[in-house]
Amino acid sequence: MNMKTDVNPFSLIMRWATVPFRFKALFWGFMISEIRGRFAGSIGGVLWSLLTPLANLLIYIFVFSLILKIRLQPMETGTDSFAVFFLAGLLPWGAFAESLSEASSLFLQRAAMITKVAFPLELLPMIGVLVPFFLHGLGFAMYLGYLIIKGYFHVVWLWLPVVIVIHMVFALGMVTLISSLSVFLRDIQQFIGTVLTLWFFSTPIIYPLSMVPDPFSLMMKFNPMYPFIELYRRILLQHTLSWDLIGTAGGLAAVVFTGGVLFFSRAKYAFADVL
Amino acid sequence: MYAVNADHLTKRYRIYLRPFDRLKEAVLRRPFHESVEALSDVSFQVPTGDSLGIIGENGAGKSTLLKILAGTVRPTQGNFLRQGRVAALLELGSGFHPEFSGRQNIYLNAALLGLGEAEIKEQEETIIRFAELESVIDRPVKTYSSGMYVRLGFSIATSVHPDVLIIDEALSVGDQRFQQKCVDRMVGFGKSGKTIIFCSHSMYLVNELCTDTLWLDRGRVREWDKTAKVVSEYLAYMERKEELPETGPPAKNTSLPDVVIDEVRVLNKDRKPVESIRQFETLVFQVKTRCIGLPMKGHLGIGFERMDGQRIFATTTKVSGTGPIEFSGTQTIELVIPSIPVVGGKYRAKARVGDEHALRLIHEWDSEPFGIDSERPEIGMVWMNHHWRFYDATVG
Repeated sequence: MNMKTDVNPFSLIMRWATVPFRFKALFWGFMISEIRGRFAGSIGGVLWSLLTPLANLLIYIFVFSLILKIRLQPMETGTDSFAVFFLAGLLPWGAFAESLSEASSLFLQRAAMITKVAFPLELLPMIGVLVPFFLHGLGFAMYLGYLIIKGYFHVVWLWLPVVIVIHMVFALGMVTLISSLSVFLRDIQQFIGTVLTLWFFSTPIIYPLSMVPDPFSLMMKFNPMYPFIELYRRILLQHTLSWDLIGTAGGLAAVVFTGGVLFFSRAKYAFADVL
Repeated sequence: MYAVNADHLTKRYRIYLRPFDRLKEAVLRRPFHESVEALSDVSFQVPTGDSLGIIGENGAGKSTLLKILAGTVRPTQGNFLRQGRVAALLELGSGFHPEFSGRQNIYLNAALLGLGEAEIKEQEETIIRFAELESVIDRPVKTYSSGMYVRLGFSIATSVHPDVLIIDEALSVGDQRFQQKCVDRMVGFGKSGKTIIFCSHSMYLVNELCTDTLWLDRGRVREWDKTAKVVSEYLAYMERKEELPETGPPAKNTSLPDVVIDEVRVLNKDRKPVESIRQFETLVFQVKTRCIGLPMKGHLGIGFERMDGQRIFATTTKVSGTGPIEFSGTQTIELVIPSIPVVGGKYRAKARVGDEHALRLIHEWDSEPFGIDSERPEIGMVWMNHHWRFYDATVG
């Protein structure tokens, strides 16, 4: 067994990229058990992962569309339907937020397993991202189906998988960072929910960027979730592709992921000591 | 060729009184912890196909050592090398998901231990059969009894065909019959050239399963040698520590064992009970046993020790090769020592009944103290035949 800590970022990232293939049975075992475990004992099963965003959607439509009467400019947003506009941001955000909120307990929850069995811990953050993205993906697929029926389809959509992958890499970096930190700083579990709520409302998800008054709209550009939400929306509804945004999103994902991997590679040896 | 080679392993844990201290230390780069050394400078090698027992009192560092060997904990200093696939059972069923069925858990648990999907499929039925869970394998494991849990865990871990199997106290749960099955499987493991590292408080199991034994004492290697030697020294140490009462049988647990020893007596050559016997005369240890349950096979061990607990000699029907005894009803068994060579003094005989494999202690009983009479002054423990020779310096 090699006892030296490998700190070369390239070989670390290669390890992350190959681990699901080298431990295929375990990777799929975790995947399946995570999805199955989420709904074990419930009658509704996977249906709940569709019903929850649907309920959220109805609440937000009621408040923002019926009461506060937000009016969308089709010229700016590509649609005049609040639901269509809102879902383009809500579903990607939902997958991301769920990954992050569960990240704080990712290792803590499995303390018994981590201290007793040696297995590649890298798999856990991966599962922690893939499962929420998969479950929200079901809703997203239905949403896409609806858009196709309504005639929103466009060739630019073929860029969607690229955006999703970049988004997942970004989420993986965040989850790795938060889950590793949470082992040492259990406080994260307490405030991650609040942070996510704040983050949700400061990202143009319920409202278009054009409605944000001047000094704040500039600040939006520093919100790391902004380029992702904006990308989804432009591709889906406006059928345009912004190389600037893809570049920003890709850069963010690369930086956050590398940072997460580096921190994790140093912290993981202390997990079993602390847990 | 070593299956496991541990080289000066040391593990220090940092103990923080408050979580905030950890943060302070990380930020201020000054120590805010107490250091506890769980393991210091532990070195040993296990040749492929051998088995190593790890014994020691609670808190001696056994679990830390096993965790390092299993790869979940990193040593602070030192290195170790392992050959081949390693399966560790530090806690049976630790990876189980309570909501999933036994079968689903087999897949996840075997994958955790490093098995590929095709291999798991191949092993699935064997695992279920060995665990004797055919009828409940598709129920969620949260409905299992703790014994069933353990059976499934043990069955999975040993079915993955590891080259090195690390086991921690895994057999302490589960009924006796299944324990026996586990022991048999592990013995088979050893015979097929696999390496076992076994940590237990049961000296019987260690004795049976392990060729060598490592005795840990407060994080250090106190002794590392052949099992028989280490175990007997460890037992002597423990007895000295416990300060056993001077006479009378030791207090035993309340539940009645299957076979009990009613009496242990010392007889002379005419089979008459005596309180003391002359050195070099025939001495007979007589043990009366009573089988309470169904007739069963087992082994009897008889030995005697000095009043300070120093064992002089002991033998068992297994060691002597007489084969297991068929216990049923009441029986009288005698061990004859034709000429007793021990030095004069007070002694006490001990008898123990164990199971068929001489692993599990069923019952033990002590005799009243007896004396060995001798006229000459003696030094040491036994009198050995000897003679003196004298030569002149010039003869050479």
